[in-house]
Amino acid sequence: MNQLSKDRLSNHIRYVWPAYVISALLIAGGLSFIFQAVHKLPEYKTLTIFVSGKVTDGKTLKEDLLNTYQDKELKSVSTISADPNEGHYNTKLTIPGYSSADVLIIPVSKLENLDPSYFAIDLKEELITTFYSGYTFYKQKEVSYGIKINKEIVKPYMSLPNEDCYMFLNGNSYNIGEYANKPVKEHDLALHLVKQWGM
Amino acid sequence: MNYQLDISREYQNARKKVTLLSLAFSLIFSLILIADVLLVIFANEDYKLNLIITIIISILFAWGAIFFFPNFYNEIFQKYLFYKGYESGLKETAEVEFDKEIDEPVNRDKNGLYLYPVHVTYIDGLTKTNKVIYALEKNLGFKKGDKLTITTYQRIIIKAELHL
Repeated sequence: MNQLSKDRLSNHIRYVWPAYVISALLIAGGLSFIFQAVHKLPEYKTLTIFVSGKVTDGKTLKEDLLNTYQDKELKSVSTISADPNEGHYNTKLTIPGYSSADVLIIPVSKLENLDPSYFAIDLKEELITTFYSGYTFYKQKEVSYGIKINKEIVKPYMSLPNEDCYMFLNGNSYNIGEYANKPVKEHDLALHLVKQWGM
Repeated sequence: MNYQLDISREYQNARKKVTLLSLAFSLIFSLILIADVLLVIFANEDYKLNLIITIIISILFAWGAIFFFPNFYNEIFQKYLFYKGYESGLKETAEVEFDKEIDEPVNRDKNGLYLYPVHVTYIDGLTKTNKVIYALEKNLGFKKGDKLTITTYQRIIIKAELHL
């Protein structure tokens, strides 16, 4: 076997360098994808909040919630925000909001044209007694759906419209314990969050 | 002084090397694959460290393979193919006059097999033709003007007998 001369080495680098770059990118991308797929966080360890307004300090919001619900194994917090005055608000509320948010914060003016039973669970007497006794509710046809948010508590994290806003618990959430479409009693992060922020 | 390439021995050597290198590569590849799979399986939710270790060992292995195959394995494999084809291949015997040999090897067929060019003059009756043939080894030990009977396969010298 011939010695690998300097010329051969420089020729090799000159012609083959794209293979080094492409292989590194493919490996890094591929392995990241595999790790993400294998170790995807369970739904009950993540909390998604739909905010009708602007999230002003998402970082602090996440840190505070992760600290508060550490014992409940909360690992990830994400927010979806949409300005109620913008044209695509309803689209955002419907597509990422209804489909993936655990808690939806909606101003009262937007609720006039919405049927909360489409996306939120109705707050049964038992749930109200256990978690939300003494809170203010948003009702439609005598059924309670939303809980009024305490704007002072969430002020450091988000700016909400200058009107009453209510929090709704999405029936598709995995974080509303036995009240979810797929109920698991222990996974009740969203119930506690609404209790913490409600009034 | 004569030159003779021991094809049978060289073929055995090349075959042994190709087998050993293939086995070594397969073994290392398997170990890396097992390590990667274990790192993926036994990672917890905070898998950043495992991911970084997996990426680093996989990239190092891939880069090693990209460097190893064209620069080392391919040459040995081409030699193995050369010796393997020798038995059934066409050989040519000719009278030549040695001119010079070049110390710097060339990748004649761009296939990774590096050969040393040898300048000779073919003598066919009164006709003399200058040609470049090749040798697998350098310093065949002949000097300018030596008259030789050579046997070549794929224009590579297998045997050279000096006319005394």
